Amino acid sequence: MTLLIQNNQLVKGCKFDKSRVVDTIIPTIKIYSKREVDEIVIYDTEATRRKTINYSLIKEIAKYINIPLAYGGGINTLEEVRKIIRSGADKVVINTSLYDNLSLLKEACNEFGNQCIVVGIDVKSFQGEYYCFSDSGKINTFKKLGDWLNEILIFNPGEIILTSIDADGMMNGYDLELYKSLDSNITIPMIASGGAGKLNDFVSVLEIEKISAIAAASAFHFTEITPKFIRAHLKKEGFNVRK
Amino acid sequence: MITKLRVGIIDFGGGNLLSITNAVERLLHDVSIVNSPSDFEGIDCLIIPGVGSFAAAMYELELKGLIHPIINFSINKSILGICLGFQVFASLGYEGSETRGLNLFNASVKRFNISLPVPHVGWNSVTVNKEAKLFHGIEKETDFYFTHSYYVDVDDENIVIGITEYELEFASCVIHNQIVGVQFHPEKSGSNGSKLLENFFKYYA
Repeated sequence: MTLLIQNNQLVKGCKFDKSRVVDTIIPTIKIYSKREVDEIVIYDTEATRRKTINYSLIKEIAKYINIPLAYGGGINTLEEVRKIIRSGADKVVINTSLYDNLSLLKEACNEFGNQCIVVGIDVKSFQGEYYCFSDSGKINTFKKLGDWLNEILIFNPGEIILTSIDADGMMNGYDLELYKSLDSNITIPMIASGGAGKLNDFVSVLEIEKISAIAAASAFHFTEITPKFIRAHLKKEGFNVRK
Repeated sequence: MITKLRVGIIDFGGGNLLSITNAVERLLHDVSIVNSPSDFEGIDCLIIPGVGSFAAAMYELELKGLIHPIINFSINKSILGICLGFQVFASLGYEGSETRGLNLFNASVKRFNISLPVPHVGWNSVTVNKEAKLFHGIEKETDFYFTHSYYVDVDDENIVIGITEYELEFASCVIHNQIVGVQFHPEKSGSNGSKLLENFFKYYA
């Protein structure tokens, strides 16, 4: 059961460096808006380290975008969530700060509605178990994925975006074992992230029942795959995609 | 050549006007934020956006003295209501207690009482069941972006132009004379959403 009514949502992630912000981000945003992705997710991987969020960038991006926008990176407080939404984002992705402050999730869902709140989880596999990493994959929290999911699900976030750090950027396909290992009684929409490189990668991961949406970046940056190709291919394979 | 319009956008004081303002400006029209009765001067058409609650929206409209100016405006000019903005066109809203809406057509606003997750969030199909210039150049079954917990139960089926299914079937688009209401967010619905806005300005405003 998904929040997205079996629509397979195509979400594009964008990682960037503050110094290259205005030059490369806006043109990319315009291109992908035009290419009809279903949603754009912006991650500022430096925000946690910088301890500040670039609201003016979010406002700038919001000017050029005519589809839903999610922002993630360095979110620690409710006030930051408020400002991000006021800057034009529709959703926020919270990851690192939750390991120290899970109550932020509860507060944010209460105040903004769970449809605005996405939990980001980044994992690496070690000796057959998946462990959660914070700070853009740099710090091992030593929490096992299953345990962390149980803690998160109590607060009913709108969506979870689950990224395989090992697969990310490799373009060798999503980590199918990761998604297959998910508990069958998870009812929150799960977005698969990390590893897409070919059209069939999208099919393979969406065939896993728990996965209701897919995120990709390298596949768009480095191949000729476009959202339209993906939707057409998925449609041919029998998936319900955006018309 | 399109005529440049002066588009009024109602400010409820809480919601996010950025997205709809950007969408209108991308279509090369001028935006005028409407906060008080005097802000209606020189407005060619009106947009009522909305995120939030029916009761809170009606309360704000009342507080700012906007209810009568909007009703008067609707007599001769066009209004586009988006999401909550569409819902306030109705006669009544049920959100805990009963609140009166603008009553531009007979309808009541009800909460989804279904087994699927509420709010209804994401892309979903709008099936256009009548001819309408609003959907000119848009396929009869097209996905738009929704995010809402309440829907509008319209008395007169003849004014329902588009329907959407989310466990139950509800009116996703209503057109009554020059009043246009959409439950989805055209400003978040990609090129089809832009087209719809463009059509509103071209054929209704």
